[in-house]
Amino acid sequence: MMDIIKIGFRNLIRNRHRTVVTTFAMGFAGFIMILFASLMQGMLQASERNAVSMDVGDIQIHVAGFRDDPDLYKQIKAPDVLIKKIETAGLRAAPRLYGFGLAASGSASSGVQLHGLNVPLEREVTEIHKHLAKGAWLDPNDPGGVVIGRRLAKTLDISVGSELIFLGQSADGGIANAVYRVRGVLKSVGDSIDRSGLFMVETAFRGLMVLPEGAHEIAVMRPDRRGELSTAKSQIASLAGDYETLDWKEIRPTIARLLEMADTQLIIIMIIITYIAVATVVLNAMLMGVFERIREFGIMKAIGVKPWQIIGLIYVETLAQTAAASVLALGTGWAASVYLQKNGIDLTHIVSGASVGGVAIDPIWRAQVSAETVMTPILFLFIMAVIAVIYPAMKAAFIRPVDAIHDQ
Amino acid sequence: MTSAILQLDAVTKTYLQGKVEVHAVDGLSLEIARGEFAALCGPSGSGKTTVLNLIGGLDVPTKGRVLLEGRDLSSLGRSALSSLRRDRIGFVFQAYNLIPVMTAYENAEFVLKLQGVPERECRERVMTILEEVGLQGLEQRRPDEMSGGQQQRVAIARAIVTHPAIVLADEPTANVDSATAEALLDLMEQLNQVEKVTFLFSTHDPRVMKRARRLIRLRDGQLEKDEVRV
Amino acid sequence: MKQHPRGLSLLVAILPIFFLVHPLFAQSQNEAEKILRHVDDLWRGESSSAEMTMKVKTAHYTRTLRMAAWSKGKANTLVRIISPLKEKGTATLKSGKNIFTYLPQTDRTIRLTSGMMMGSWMGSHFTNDDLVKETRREDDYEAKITFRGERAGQNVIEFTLIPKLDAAVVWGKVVLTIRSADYIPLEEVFYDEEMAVARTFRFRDLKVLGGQLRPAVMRIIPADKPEEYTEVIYETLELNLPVEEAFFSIANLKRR
Repeated sequence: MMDIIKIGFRNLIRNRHRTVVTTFAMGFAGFIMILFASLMQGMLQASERNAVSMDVGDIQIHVAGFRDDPDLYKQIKAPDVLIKKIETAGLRAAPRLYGFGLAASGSASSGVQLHGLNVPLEREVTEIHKHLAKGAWLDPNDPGGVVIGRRLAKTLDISVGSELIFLGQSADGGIANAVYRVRGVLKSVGDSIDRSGLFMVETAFRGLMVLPEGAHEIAVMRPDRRGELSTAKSQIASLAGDYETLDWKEIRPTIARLLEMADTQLIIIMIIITYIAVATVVLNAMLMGVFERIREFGIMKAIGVKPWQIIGLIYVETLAQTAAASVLALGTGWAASVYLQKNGIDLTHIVSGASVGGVAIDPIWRAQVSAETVMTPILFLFIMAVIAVIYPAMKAAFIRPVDAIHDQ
Repeated sequence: MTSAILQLDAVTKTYLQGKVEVHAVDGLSLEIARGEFAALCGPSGSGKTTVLNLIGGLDVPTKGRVLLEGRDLSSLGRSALSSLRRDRIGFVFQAYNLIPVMTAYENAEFVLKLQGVPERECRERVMTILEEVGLQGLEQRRPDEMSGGQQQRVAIARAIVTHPAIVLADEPTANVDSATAEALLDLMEQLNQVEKVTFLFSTHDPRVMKRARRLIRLRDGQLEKDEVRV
Repeated sequence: MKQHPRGLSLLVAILPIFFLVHPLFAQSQNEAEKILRHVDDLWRGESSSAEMTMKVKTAHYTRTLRMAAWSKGKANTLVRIISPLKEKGTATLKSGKNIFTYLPQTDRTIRLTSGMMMGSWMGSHFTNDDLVKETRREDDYEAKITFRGERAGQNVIEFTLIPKLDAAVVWGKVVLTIRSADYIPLEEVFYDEEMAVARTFRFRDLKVLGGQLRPAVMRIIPADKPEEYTEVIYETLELNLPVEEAFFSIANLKRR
């Protein structure tokens, strides 16, 4: 076997032009795959972060039926007690109030969804407070200040400092009507919030909507977003009793499916890219290498070299090149991915305000580098090389020496 | 011929050329004894190369049997056949004989290593053989650093280093000049006489035919004349 | 959008304005339409002024509003809340296809957008959309008498109104029952497109209003919440008063 390895390496050196070209082509394919995997991972994480961290949270508790028909009266009783329990269990939770109505400014008006938030608790659960395009987030000491969605601001043609009138129906059937001042305008968060989100502090909501207690929703977040979501969900469900407990994948099935699909698509696309790029290159190079050396293999077989030794020889050559290509791909792919993780690709001009499955896309597309995004392509590279070279190796191993030797 | 190491027993080899059956070898029976220095000759298409391939286990007869040291080659599997070639047959081809990435020494040593001969014994035997074929000092040359004659010497060294039952040489002098051809034939003759190596050539080179002690003339796959010279 | 038969007109002069533009007012030689045209004629009025009380009972609250209302033609209606104090001065103006609401708490006037149209009007079982729709059913329905005779101790005529094929109407059909004697409406039931009852209007408490005997109370009962209702009780009604077009302006909304 040592001889086979020795011969393999010498063959690589002898055909150094082919070796270099093959190695670089494979390395480039690996580089592309690593970069692609990191970018996809980055996009997936950004989407999930937008879906979960901006608004939904990991888990939500409602009165059953609230999500289908959200009315003011489907309230979770004594939300404070439940939140305390959830916090004791090591998770974070925030109560939310929802109402619907009309927001108007000047002659423009638009239907809005009112969000009444407990500002300090919400801060522990979601990151929406970091996601302002303009102005400042809610402040419990400023009950007259509201934060609005990006497109709502456009529809009403208002910005930070503008006045906004809300008109709705309060819980007692009366008219809920008040003037607010816009404190902040959000960046793109998701279709619904962008278009109709009107955020105010809890006390302001309760006064406006005549809703002294209860909550419509409790959003729960795992502190580190690690561990099984389903475990956390069943934990919360047992605390929530009769209330409905849903995780974010149930709440946003579109985006959850999209993320899962993207995961499998990622694999499929990687297979295709790998197959086309690597397999073609390797297959071609190895086929050329084998046919060029067909007499050589014939002689080797004639003097008694066994087929498996020929296969071994071709695999030594292939794997050596793949290894070199991997080093190349690892180095360049990792460096490029890390660069894009830090700097991102600025797509502001292309996808400003775009969304997928109701969740906004971050216009700065950042890569996300992980052992998986770097090593999976390398593994693929090897697997594909090994598969691609089966045919030429067999061809060489089982060639009839007569044909080979007399082949002119 | 009591000590036949090779027997061809009514061997027929038929090829299909398009839709036409071609009898490359047609009911040939033949015996080669140990220590012979024989040549298969005849015009091209007479079947001499096919016969050599059949003997070397590179090809299988359509009918009849090829027996090497009493073993029927057609009864052997792929792997056994390649072991047989490795251990009992030496090959010298007309060109492209050597593994291009290996030195003269490594080429000669290669088959021994495949046989699993220990390193020290390999070294001894290879150095002896290379000296015998007149290549001392050129051990570390690669094939592309040697002349055609030198390459054929390496091929001969490789063929005999395993002490095969028979060396099959297919037009070994076809690609070299006259002087080199004579030198190579000198070498093989000497190996035949001193080392008692059995040689069977396939050739139409008169220089080879002149030296062969037995001329087996073939025509249309059949034995035309079997002539033993003393 | 689909045509709703009820408008502010209903509130303003329940039937006067409603029947004024009732489909059956349309020219037709068929007997059903003749009777219904007569019914319509009973309530004709170019303009109106009324005071009324609206009682809303839902699972979550009960509220009573007193309000004053004015109308002129089909297009113009103005309703102003008189009590309770908290909502006093809140006014709704229907002008053509637009609805404006004046909100004294914030001293602002808001034009309702299409997104708000299906929302409740003043916490009642009327939608804003109910208010804005012009009640031109004459174009939309075919009427025929489906019952005539005694029912619950009085002689009644029952009409079934089927939307015409090309009519943009949300209802599958409307069944209207009137008293045979004086053509006073008793009940009107609206069916959805699956022919299930969607809501019911009941008329009662006959009283001379605007010089005619009319039902003073109209109750609307949503079929999916039979324990809830909105009831409009007419206290005064005057018809054919001289009212200026300018009365139905945004500027006039604010006046108390």
